[in-house]
Amino acid sequence: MMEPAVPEHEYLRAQKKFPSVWCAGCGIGIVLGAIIRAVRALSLSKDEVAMISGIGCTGRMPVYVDFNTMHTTHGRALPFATGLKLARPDMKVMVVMGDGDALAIGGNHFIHAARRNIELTAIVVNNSIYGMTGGQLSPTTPFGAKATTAPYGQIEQAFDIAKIAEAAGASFVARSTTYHAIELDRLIARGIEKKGFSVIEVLSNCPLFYGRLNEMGDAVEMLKWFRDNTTAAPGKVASGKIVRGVLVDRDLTGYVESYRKLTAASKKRGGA
Amino acid sequence: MGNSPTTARRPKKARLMQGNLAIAEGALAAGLGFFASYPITPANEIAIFLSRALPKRGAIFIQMEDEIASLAAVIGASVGGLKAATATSGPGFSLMQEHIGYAAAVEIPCVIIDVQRAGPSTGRPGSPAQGDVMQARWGTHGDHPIIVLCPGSVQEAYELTIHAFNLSEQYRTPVILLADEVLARMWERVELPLAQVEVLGRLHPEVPPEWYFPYDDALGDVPPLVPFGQGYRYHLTGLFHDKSGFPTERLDEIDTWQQRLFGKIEGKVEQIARIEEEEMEDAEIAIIAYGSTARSARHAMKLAREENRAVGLLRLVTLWPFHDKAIERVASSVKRIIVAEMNRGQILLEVERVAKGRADVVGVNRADGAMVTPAQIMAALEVEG
Amino acid sequence: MKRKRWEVRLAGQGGQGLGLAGIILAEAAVRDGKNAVMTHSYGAQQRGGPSRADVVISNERIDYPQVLDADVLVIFCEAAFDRYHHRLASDGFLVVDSSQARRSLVEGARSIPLPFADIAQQVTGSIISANMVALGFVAELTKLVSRRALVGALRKHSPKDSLQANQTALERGIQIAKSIKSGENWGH
Repeated sequence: MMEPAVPEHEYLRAQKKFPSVWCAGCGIGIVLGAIIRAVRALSLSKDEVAMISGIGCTGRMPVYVDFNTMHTTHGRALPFATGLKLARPDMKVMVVMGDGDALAIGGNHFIHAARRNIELTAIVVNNSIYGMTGGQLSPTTPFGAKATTAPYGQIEQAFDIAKIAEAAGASFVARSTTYHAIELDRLIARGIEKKGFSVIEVLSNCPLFYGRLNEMGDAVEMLKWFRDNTTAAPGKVASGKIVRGVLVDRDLTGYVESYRKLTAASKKRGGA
Repeated sequence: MGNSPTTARRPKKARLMQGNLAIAEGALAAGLGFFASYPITPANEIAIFLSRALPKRGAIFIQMEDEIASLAAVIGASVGGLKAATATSGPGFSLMQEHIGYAAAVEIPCVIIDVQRAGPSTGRPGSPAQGDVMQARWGTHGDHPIIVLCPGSVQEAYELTIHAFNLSEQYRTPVILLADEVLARMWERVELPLAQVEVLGRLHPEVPPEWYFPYDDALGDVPPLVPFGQGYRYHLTGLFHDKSGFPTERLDEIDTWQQRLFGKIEGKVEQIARIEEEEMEDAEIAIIAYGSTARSARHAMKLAREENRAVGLLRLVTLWPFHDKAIERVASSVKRIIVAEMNRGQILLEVERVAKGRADVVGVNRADGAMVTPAQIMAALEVEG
Repeated sequence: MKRKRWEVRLAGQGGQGLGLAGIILAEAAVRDGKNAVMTHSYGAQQRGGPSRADVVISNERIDYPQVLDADVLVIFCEAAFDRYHHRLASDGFLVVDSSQARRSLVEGARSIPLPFADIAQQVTGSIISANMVALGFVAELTKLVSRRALVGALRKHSPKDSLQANQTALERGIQIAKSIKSGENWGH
């Protein structure tokens, strides 16, 4: 078989589904590319990978990729994925969500998936805004930032996705940005390989809404902002920069593993 | 999970069993592989029992963070190939509505057990009602087909639970078992196992992956759903979709999908819907009832027959799809129809719609959390129509 | 049993084990080859709220599952007396735990006040088995179920750690009914 000119294309439902729904300058495509490169780097077969999404711009990601894919309801991708993973523990189940999907309507499922530490890889594409519905404020819109439903500036504090995931019990938490695509590949691959619940937060660019409403310029300017305002060296936290890289990596028993043990023990005990 | 267990586990034996346990036992007999739920009265015994029974069979029990998540997990597990169910009551059933629509539109087999309690809102948690009849039919947004079954005894709760799983696989659709508090929490003599209860497994396509589409009407009214991870990679979405499962805005593709989606259930009412008629041959008055209210109705019918009054009973076992033809027959043969139910007249509306004035239709209703009594129905017999 | 349908209502508060007593009575009837239905109505609180167990026993199919006119009404607290005394059949038995409820008189009814809780305390060291004293008493009084079936049903449904006490209490209830019946002619 001929190696495709662009290796990522091998994993895309390329003939049918393109052009994508995403706007020019959107960061979600970069995340999709990174996910595919991570799957490829791990030599996973398409059959053993499932991608589950909720609703929103990121929710449209699974349709483009040649895995077992499921576009579910707003905020509920994680519980759908929980059922699938328990039914098919042999599969690698990835869940892709936007910040509103994962942390507002799906916030309860997010913390409980982390608490359960179920063996899923959650990728949260965080562009700090609702894109598909027209630029409304999200739970990660920074204090003071503008959104179409925060015309005078956001007066609520933003969630720190990584801190929530850590506090709730996830095995693995990492953060990167759409500027740092190669770093993102590696973090996603580590997340997939990690036992337990892994969360990869990706700061992403929505120039159409977040960028425009907050005068951040076009997509390139936004990517430069990620370059200049983040750091992979934790020592620089004091500089006020956002930290990238692996934030939590701990060995905790995952839910599927615990359930497997429980099943074995209950069978041994027998009875009705 | 292996093959579905047969029901012939021990010789037929009379025993006392609670309705909720009969539902749980029925689910096990049907080959339940996955159960997810959230605590709620009066359905709790089902989950408590299954949390013990399922792990021993290598099957899965999980208590989710709410009812929305419970049905989501059930649908996910079904996509993974397991027979899956959840159980709840009114408030939780309300929360499940979006995912009932998802399962109907995406055509994922699953069973939702709703033990009805008095509502709306928190209502009377430990008291019976039949107020979710219309919610079971129309609770989710948008038009969709649905199958709803309504057991009238503990024995039947067992049998209908198995039947619910069979229908969900056969028609690739969510099936709702609409029990009520009286039936679910009462203990009654049952004879288990039931004779020869058939257990249907999931349909599998005869075509290879490259020819397979999850919504292909060339594969029949009910195209088989291949579980994820078996080489048949495809896409599922709650958006309107074409035969391959990809979203579509094309009206011709949407029309093809909807014709098949509604046709597979609404076009087969005679095959799907079950009713039970008693003393109807010479009846001048018919009582129509379902669930535990049908027991009050039969009690009243027997008393009336003792007084030599021509009263018959029609019990709805399947509520949805609604058996129009059976009601039409009754409306043409009797003078009066009494519809008894623990709500303000939900099936009454359907009976009136079908009867079209051919018989007087009278409701015996209460929604206060108490059973309709035989005396209430007897009183309705007295009223001259 | 000549009658079509026998109705027993046990009424008191949550925590008195009336639901368990109802299950055991119904189970015993099934063991005797009869039909039986037990419905249990109780409040949200696991302990202390109103509790009512209805047992219907028949040789025929049982339709309406709740008590219409109780053939036996067992009262375990004053509030239950107030709530249900009017539901007693005209020839019914009113059985009142006189250690937990003061009133025990309904006009025309055969009323039997007995201190079930005190008796349970005496024979088992705890009032918790008062339900079983009452159950044994009612079973022997009415002969609704056989002693053998009743004991079998108790063994099946009683929590293991209280089985011994429950058996003792049940036997005591049976004895009391026997002694009362030998003194007064209430046979059916």
